[in-house]
Amino acid sequence: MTRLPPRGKRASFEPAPEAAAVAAEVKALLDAGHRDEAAERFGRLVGAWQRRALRVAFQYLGNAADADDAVQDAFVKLYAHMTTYRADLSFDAWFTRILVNTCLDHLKARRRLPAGSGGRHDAAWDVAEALPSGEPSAERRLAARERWSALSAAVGQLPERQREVFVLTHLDEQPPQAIAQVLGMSPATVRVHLFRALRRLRSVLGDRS
Amino acid sequence: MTWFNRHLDPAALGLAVLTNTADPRTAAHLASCARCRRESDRIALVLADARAGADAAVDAAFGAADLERQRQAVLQRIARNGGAARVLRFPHGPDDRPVTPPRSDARWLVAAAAAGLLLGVAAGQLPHLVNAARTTPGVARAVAPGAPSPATDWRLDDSLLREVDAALTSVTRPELEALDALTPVHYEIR
Repeated sequence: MTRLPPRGKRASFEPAPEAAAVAAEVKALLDAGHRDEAAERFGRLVGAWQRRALRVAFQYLGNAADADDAVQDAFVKLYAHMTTYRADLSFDAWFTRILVNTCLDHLKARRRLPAGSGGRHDAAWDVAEALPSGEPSAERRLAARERWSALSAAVGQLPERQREVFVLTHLDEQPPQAIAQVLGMSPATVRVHLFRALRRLRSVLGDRS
Repeated sequence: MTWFNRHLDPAALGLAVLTNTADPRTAAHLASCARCRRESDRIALVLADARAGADAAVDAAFGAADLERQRQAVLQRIARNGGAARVLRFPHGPDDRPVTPPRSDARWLVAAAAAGLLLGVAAGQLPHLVNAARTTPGVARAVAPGAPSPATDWRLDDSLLREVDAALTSVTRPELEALDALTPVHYEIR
């Protein structure tokens, strides 16, 4: 594999090293029985990760209310299992896995609801409504809104594995090795799922044919 | 020759963009083909725009106050103990297999169960075997009294069955005891 020059990445996105250290502190405090202090430190961890978690959950669930619920649930689950955290393993992968599983649980719960009894189904509409408009860079924002609306709707139609891999690669900017750890598959399989997802998204990405 | 044979598939370009890596064939083609480089840049822009759109949507839906409210809500739930959470084993990977007892333990378990079964069957059959040993010479009498006059074939069968019974009851073969227990002997058939 040839490494290409990175482009289009967010400037500062990765809170991982600090988060892993804080997670280790929380575990140590819990092990020592200092629950209040542990909860206080855990609050910092939530602050460092919640925006990133919301981005992933928003893409999965398509609306703010469900994303809010899922992210809260994921953090509560994380805390409940904090005493099993191992500092030698990737905190990033652990939390992402909890988050993705929680989002999938919410999606399943939503499917069990009768139509019209809760949950929104038109992710693209919701995304377009949520985006700000009328600001100085309106044209650029409009393009971004349209592109995400189209892509988001198309991603929602992908098979589950392809969607997971695409969301984690695109929105969470995780490399295949990290996604492999999160989803329990080999990096080569991650690349295959990603390639298949991209083939299905070809019309949104702009097919030259 | 079609267009796709000469230039890279958008999915292959997207894969290279998203993972920042390319297989040697793709890298070589990108190095030599300006058109595919332009297409790669365009796809990178589409993906970056979509990502910016996603960020903007999250920022619009969750301002600073919303993020703080969410953080407080998490801490309150934790203070209430968070409720029951699903157990997530970690790490999750190719070596993450269900826990089973070691193979030698399983073998001992099977051997013990088989031995217990054999002992139980043997103990259950002991009275019958003792009884059969006592009555073997007179088996014919047990069959004959009220029954219709046996034919020659019947006598032959009877004689054969007696021999089989005698063999089974006189020779001690533990490995045959379980089979013996399941096989009806002829004196049980009235």
